[in-house]
Amino acid sequence: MGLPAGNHGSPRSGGTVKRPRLAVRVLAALLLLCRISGVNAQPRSSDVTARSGVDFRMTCGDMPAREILEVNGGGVAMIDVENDGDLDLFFANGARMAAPDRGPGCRLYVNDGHGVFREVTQEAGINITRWANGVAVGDYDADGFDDLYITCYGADVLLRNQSGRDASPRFADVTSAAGLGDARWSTSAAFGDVDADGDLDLYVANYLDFDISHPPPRRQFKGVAVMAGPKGLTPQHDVLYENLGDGRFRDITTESGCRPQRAGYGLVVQIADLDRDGRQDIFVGNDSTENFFFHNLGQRRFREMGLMSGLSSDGDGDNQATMGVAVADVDDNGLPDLFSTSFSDDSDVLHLNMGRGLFEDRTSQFGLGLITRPFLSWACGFYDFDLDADEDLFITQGHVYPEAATGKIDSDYAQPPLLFERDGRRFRRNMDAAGMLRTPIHGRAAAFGDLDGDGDVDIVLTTLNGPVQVLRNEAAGGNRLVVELRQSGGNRRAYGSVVEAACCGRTQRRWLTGGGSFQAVNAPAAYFGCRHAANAASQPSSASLTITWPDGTATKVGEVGWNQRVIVDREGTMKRVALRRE
Amino acid sequence: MRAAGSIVVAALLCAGSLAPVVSDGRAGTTRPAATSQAASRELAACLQLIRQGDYARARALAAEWIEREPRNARAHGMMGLAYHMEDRHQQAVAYFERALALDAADDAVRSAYGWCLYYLGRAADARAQFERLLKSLPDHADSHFALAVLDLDEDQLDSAVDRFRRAIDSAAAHRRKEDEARYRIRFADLLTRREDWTQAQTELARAVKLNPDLYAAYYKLSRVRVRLGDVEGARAAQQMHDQARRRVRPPSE
Repeated sequence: MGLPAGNHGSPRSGGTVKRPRLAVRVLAALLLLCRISGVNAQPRSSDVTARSGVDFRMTCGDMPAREILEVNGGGVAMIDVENDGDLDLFFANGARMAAPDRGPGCRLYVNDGHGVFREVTQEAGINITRWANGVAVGDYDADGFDDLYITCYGADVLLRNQSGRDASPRFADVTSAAGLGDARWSTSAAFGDVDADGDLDLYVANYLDFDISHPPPRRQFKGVAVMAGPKGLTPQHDVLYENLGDGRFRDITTESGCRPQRAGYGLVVQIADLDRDGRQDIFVGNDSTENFFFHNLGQRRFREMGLMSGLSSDGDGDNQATMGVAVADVDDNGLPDLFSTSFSDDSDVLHLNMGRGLFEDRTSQFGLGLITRPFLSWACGFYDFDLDADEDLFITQGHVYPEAATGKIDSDYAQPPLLFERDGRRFRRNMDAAGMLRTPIHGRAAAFGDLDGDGDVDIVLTTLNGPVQVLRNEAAGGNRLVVELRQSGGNRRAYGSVVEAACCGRTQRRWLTGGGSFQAVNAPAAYFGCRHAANAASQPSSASLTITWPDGTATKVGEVGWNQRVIVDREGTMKRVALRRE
Repeated sequence: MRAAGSIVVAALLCAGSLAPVVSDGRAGTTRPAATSQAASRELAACLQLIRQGDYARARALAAEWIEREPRNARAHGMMGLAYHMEDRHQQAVAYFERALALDAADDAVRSAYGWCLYYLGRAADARAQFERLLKSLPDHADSHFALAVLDLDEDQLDSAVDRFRRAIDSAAAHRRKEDEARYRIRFADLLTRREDWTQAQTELARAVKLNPDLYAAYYKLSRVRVRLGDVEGARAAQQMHDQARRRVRPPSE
């Protein structure tokens, strides 16, 4: 959390274990309004509450929150634990101030392949009861199974996936053996092959120094007494770990150039080749302090280029309370743009990638300026929810100050998620989707991916001390294509790749980044949609696929038919999996 | 991004350029009221407290005033202004609406009301207020500026150009340097969107000359110079930004 940024031009300045009722939402045709001529996708809703099985209420302190430790909520990851081809769910769960090491614990749910989940935390050997915040997923030991890194208030945890061939989930805590376990308050983390040696390195974003036994005094915000922080509290430096390839990691933060003079209040990290030079860069979104953009120079060396690139702040030079980040090529120039969420009284920010390592704040140009201003936003994701060949935008929201419920700070405590439908060069807010987008919640982390195997993108979001919500996309019609990548080595799922699908006169691009939006991990897949008008002469039968692997090497895969899931191996083979019927 | 125009409101109120009015109790009709000495004192005292950033006391004073004169539009407007200046726009809106119900012709209150709606993300409502203002004050610079900023948010650039120019010309004609500087900065945003880097640089250079405290202008100038390939110029502008920012918004803020 943080404070709104500067105020240029303003009047004053130059600028849980209990299992309550199931809490599953249906995301009925996320985008109900298909704007394609002749197509009128009607909303379809079905009650999946009883069959989802994710009966879980997150814990992060108490409600109402009194301290900054209690406001970020817990994280979520979509991970294929048993390598059975479907997405399972891991939840990083917190604790309470009175017993920060004895919370209800993290949870693991496995998917039966139809989007029905069963909790397997205990049988999987997972027993993490300290205050967990976020999660990263990666096959750090290159054994073919994805592992879990859990960020905590207290020592972080590395869980090695030992599921093996019998397909029963099993994890072991290997934190110490791996040389990990930083005890500082960490929020988000991401795996990525930053030194291009074939295995997965790890970046951990640290937040601030908070002494739970001596909470800081309250402060004033808009004339209202609120919790302290982050300003006034000591920010903590992040850590970049090099994977040594033998199951251990080594801290290379300083020698790599990833330790700026001043630490930031780290909340989110993305690892991606942001300038498309064939090397994986690191973007860190910081709360109330400048964001970091570590440009990868090669040879395990980085240069912090936040200010120079324009990514450190918004277009006015004001630092944002950056919470979540999403990557997409919004302006179709082939380069990844960055959207970041922020505090209330401040717009979220869309940084367009102009090339040559330069980014510009073009938030209002794309219709995301004034409309996002009243909200305090967290996780976000660019996905083509309505399968019309462009990416829409989903944002979770909710204020950090319980005092917001009094109506005195221009932003509500509970806030509805925002869904923006792409309409040409603008994003338009969608208020439909079965009322979900009008219902205020305390939204926090979110993960995106196809849970039920039908080829469209579903959402799992966490709420602050509230139920987990599984939002199933029931978008009708539309062609869909899911692309997964495989390569040898630890970076088996090819984090850092770009997948391009050309069809119907345009090219869609998806970045498979290491790192999720906020304390979360999305499905390691590229989702494409394509929809023709019902009265069109012909429907598209295929898309031309091109893969740019993490090292910048491009592979032209060729024509791939729609309405299937394909697993493209770097060696040139392709496995096809049929999608389930909607 | 912010764009406020409330300095203008405060200045208007302070200067007493708009005669205080009270409602005669009939909807839609107002009559000018003689400015009593007591009302003038209340007004001056509230404004002084707002200028000092003592919003709580300003509100207390305004509350007393409202209690004594519940139908005094200016008293409600002053309470709204105190909330507005503290960035509590939602509460400000309620008082501004009461003030305008008592005196629909109070342009200063309407302007502040419009900016509050803007800050609350209510673009259409804000636009309606500024358009209404321009009907009574066609050259009202801040209303043209507000509409330009709203056009910019809607990506209506041609319309925004015309609005910005009218706002800038009007501010220049009235020698309102700080306003002119703010207008030029946002106009530079438009030029940047059109990738007219040279003109954007010109506008920003003028802005910082008019008001060296507007640190955002230096930051934008730095970015524009990067795009123009002027690395040294960009560095110099960034340094000026850092200095201005420390001066205007010390780190403790």
